[in-house]
Amino acid sequence: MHIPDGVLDIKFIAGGFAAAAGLTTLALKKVKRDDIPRLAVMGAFFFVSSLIHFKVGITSVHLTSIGLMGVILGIPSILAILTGLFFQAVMFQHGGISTLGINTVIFGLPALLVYGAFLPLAKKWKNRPFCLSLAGGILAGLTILTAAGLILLIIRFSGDEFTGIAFVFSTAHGMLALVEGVITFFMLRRLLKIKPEMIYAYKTSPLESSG
Amino acid sequence: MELDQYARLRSPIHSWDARWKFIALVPLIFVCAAVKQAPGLLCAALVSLAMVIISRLPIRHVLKILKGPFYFIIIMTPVLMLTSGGERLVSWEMISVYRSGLFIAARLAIKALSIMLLFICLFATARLQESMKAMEFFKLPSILLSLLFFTYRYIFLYLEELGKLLTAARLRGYTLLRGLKSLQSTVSILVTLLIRSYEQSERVYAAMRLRGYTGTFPTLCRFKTQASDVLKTSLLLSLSVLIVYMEVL
Repeated sequence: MHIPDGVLDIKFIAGGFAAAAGLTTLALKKVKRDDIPRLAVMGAFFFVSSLIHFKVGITSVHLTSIGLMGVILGIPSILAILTGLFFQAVMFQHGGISTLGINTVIFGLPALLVYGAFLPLAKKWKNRPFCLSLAGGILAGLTILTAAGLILLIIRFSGDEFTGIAFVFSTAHGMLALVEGVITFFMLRRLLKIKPEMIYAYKTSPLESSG
Repeated sequence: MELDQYARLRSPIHSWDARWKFIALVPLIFVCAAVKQAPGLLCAALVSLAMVIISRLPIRHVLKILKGPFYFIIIMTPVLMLTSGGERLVSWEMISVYRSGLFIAARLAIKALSIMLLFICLFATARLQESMKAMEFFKLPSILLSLLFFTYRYIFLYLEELGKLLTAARLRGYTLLRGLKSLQSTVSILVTLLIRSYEQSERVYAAMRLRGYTGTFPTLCRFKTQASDVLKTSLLLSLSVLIVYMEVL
């Protein structure tokens, strides 16, 4: 699900870092020091959930939790994604070091889109947790397809030699999108019952009031 | 699994001032990511290999780290040979095996492994606090640094919690993570994990604030530039320039 080291042209690597720096600066403006534990918890969750694999047919897919990050954290999810990806790369060599910037953009943009779409729904469906969870699940599934599309696009423009392989891997992500969507739906259902303030947190905390 | 478990070894790489190490290795990592021609690739591979040997990091540890990228390349090679295009080695009806796929896979392997080896040298040869202090020196935002530090700690917390939850579930007879049928139990575990760690993190943060945490990490680590640091950095930067020169030629 990540672009590994050695695949991209240096122009794309540099562009990825520049875009990630822009997104990070935007996210940093929305964050107060008290938000750090919440962001760190989600960054660590992003890291750990990628270790959970599901056997689907002959292949296996792992969770990404990007949708959930967007829903719970909003714009600052970029920071949690950046740190989560950094530790995935340095501790499990999952992803890449030189591609950390572009991978942050690939995961961060869909998370922001989910936030943008989920925020009005969360206000509208405050008393309809089922509808809200369903919308969250669908959006989470779409984040995977968006990320896979972005990977395909970037690799296609970076050079011809990896287009075939990127296509093979991107199409395999249809199944992941389904799994991620279903799991996010169930997780949101539970979270809205047990700890709704986690989902609605960004409406009252500094994360929201500053943004 | 700790990043800096071998940070206390003694070697020229370990004794290198972390700030100077960053100045030397970060550009070299990007040079490794940029090279395409065989001489440059070979030079990058040799430099990164030499760095790991000089660092005296246990071979078993390095191999363990490289296992992931290595498996990835093993999987990639046949797919690249079938999809890369170019000169055909074998053709059978719709399927063709391309020679260039092998070269692309070799290039990918050298680049990925060189980058990873250099990164191991950068982070595994200094304590994490030292590396973070160096990043602070390069004006990385303090919120981002705190976030890195907290995330690192919570990863271990999560892994411990996940281990406990999986054991408890296994003892109750659940078969976890074995397909979509066990989805509900997996979701329960994930939600419990998320909520427990979330609540625990808030308690830990409150305790830290009460003890006077203000967002900076006071460490005993003090940087002092020595002639050998400048020499090592100059040597590595010259090698980076040499690799770029070989690439441009």
